[in-house]
Amino acid sequence: MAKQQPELGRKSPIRLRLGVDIDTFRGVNKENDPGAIHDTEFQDLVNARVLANGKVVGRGGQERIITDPMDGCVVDIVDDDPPYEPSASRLYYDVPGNLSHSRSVWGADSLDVHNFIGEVDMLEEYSRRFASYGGQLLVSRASTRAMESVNLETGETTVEFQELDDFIRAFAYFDFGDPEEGDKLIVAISDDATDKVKQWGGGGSVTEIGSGINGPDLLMPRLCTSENVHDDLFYANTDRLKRYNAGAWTNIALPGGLTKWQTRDLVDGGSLNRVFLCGYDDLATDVGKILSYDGATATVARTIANCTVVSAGAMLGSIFHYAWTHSGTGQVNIGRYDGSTWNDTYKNLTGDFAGIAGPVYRLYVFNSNLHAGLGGSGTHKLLRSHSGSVSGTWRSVHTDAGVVAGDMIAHTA
Amino acid sequence: MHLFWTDAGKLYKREPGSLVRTEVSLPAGTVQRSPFTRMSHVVIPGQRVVIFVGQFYQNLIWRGDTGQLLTMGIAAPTTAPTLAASGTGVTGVVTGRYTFAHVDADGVVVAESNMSPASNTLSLVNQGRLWTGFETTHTNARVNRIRLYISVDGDEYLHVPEEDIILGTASTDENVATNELDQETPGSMRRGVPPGFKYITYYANRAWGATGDDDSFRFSELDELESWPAVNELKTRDGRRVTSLKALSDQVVIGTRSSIQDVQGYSADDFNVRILTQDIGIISNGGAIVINDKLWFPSQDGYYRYGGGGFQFLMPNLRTYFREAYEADPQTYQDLVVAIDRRRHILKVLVPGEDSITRHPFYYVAHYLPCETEFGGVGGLPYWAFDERDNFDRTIGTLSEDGELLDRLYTGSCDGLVRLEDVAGNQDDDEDGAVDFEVRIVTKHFLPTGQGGDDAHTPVFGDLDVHVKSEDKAFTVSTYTGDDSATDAAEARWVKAEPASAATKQGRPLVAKTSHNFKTQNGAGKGGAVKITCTSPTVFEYRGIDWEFEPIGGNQTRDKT
Repeated sequence: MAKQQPELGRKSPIRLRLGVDIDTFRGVNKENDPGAIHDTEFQDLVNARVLANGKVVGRGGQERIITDPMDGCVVDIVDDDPPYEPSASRLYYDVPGNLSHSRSVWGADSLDVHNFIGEVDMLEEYSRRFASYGGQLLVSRASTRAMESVNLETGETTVEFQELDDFIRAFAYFDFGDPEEGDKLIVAISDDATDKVKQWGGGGSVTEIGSGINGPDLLMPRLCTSENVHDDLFYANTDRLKRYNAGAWTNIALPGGLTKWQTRDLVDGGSLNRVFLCGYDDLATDVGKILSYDGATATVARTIANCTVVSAGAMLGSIFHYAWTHSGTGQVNIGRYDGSTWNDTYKNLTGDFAGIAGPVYRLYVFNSNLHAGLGGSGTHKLLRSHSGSVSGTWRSVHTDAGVVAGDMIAHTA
Repeated sequence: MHLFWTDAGKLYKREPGSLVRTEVSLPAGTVQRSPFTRMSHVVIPGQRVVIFVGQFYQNLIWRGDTGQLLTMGIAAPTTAPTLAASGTGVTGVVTGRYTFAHVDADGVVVAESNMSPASNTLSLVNQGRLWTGFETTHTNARVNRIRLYISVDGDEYLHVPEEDIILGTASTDENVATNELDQETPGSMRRGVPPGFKYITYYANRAWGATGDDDSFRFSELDELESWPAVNELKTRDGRRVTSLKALSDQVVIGTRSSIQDVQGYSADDFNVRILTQDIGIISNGGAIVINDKLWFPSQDGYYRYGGGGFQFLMPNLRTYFREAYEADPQTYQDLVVAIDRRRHILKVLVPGEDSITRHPFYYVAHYLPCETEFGGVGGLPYWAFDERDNFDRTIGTLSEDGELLDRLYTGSCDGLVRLEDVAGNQDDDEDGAVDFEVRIVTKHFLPTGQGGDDAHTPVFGDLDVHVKSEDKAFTVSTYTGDDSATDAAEARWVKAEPASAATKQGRPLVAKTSHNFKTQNGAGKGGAVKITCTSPTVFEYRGIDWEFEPIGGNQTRDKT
């Protein structure tokens, strides 16, 4: 008789699989006996996290946020500004339907949810401008040569004032010092003969401010106000920079060596205590430049190689950012200046969005992020930085087959 | 602006997003406490104002709008001015006082002292006033103006407008008409310099501070962060020394080592102290924090929370562990620092490290979602884990970069650097390129057939399926079999290294493997536990185990007949 095969024990499993046997793991338990703790607890759990879906994952590593060590052990970390609160405003911007003056106005919230507002035919790209004043979203409209308010529900517009011979090409806000008046809306107007700067008094009322602004027909007037530079209103155009000073426009000499300066943007440098002019020197070198006026002297602050035009600028916090396109490769760049160092290629937008094409017609800060309105043939029309990091990966707010996005503005309806 | 203090007594600032930090000048006369005392701070909502107390004998106030760090409060003049007739213009019997003030470039009075003693009484008939005898220096470097106050015919002291003078000026004359005096008066003398606090908080539009030296705590005047009249003082009901001061919704919670009390009310007349418990205390002010309108705080046997209705112990699974660690090193545990990662819903409690004695930091990590019903939890206990780190972390806190909806967690270390925490995909803790942290998981000790029997009648463990995804790093699986204390053994009964699961084969990417089968050997004992370790992974997920066993031991159960 054959020897009986010995019987081994029946195999039984300890089963502890997430999603099959249990719905979550719990944390560590060192209080109870290792054999007495719950199946989903651990004797030890180190450098791990229990996700809301029950899974245990490894924690992430670290990333330095400053490069230069401080003296001593860091013993307190403080943010003097409470966590960011999304603005109640929406960002309104224009996207063209085609090369004509037929444009559409769009709005987007802080989560990039955007919707179509309406058709408003606006000026050519560089001269297209929005304003937000008196609770109204205002546009400079091409067909009527008027400043019109936009009904944000219907997209219909209403003429607020109109000067039939003139195009309204720039807006600014300026406090003339009357404590009961507050900021006034300032408009820059160009017509066939002269430029003018006027103050809108509501309704159809406009009043020319200052004297001495008159000049030839110049298509790219720009305005800005600066609290830190004479606390004044500034005007720039082709070959000129002017300051509104005690009721008159005074000329500020541009740097020597420029052949024909073409302004594309005029930016208040805030805490950098200067006004920046973005543009290019026509005819001579054909290179993009940034001029700087510190209240005393205007100088060439930056000349960028392989750049035909510095097309836009904006302050994000205390740092000046500017946009330009590499004339050879077509790479769209955001440069920056922090008061001591220039970095022309701080952000390569083409690296994030292949196929985009400059120029950037507008840089604008909304919800603490830098937004860039793009021209050229690419489909991405409006890009923005994320989490306040200009050097990080950008996001596309709006794609469209049109050609350019000319302007944008934050406005609370 | 982001601000960083170091134990060298230096303050640095950083623009959000910038890699550069710059040192901020400290006010003249600032002296650091010895021995080192951890800073307590409170950020005043919406003002970019931060009050810092503790590390220095002086209380400091940061004003973000001007980027200035100032010594909080201005001491009053102790010398009376002298008034004499000069010129024309005023009729009446007058006395004068003056204050020291910090006035900004726009003429706004940022802070002001109480008034000096009163001058001589002067009768004027269509005469002006010549002021002399001003003190011309002040120990607080921010003082830049002297402000004049006049009392006419016994009425209250009113500010003399347009006549503020620069500190250092010994005399001035003026003839401001009585009916043109400002109605502004500090006549209540409710300003004053507070003592050097160690704890600070903000409640009911007042700052609240405590020196931590005794049972008293103070509050500032309404909307005047730098005015601390001596009468604005309360004491704990049981006479215990204050160890913590935290605002919580509509109350200030005062901790002592073994009791907790609170103050409710909105005006000085309403403030009263009541005892909440005499059984639980707060051992560390820096270890207490408000989450979802509940105060989480460390007591002597672990973390509790208080939401106004009662106390809940949050560490029943770590009670002995925490208490023994506290008893072994009470000084370090009284210096706990806590911060919330709102993105990951975790609370991190730092037991600070110290490089001078090579004590590495240790973190208690609480996953608080399970206990917060408002956040979708079930009202249970938080899940706890630990973090270990090679850096010598001394603090942890939150910062928000521009545009961020939620702040993030950062640590400050003894190498003078500040680092963002829990960066997904980053396997390096300190960016020094070295191997840093080890994920370590040890399961419970499974006792499949109970604890009865002797060593000859135990289960034998066999196939082990470990459900782990570790895409980029090899991981190690160990088993510990035997009695409940098997994991205390110096060596595992069985060990196996498994390669990373996201390998490629012949150039083709493979989907990461999430289950791994092992033939464990020599795994006999009353029970068994599994330990899984992985060094510096970027993607590591654990979903459990399946472990087979033979209920009755193999060879020991063979029929020998």
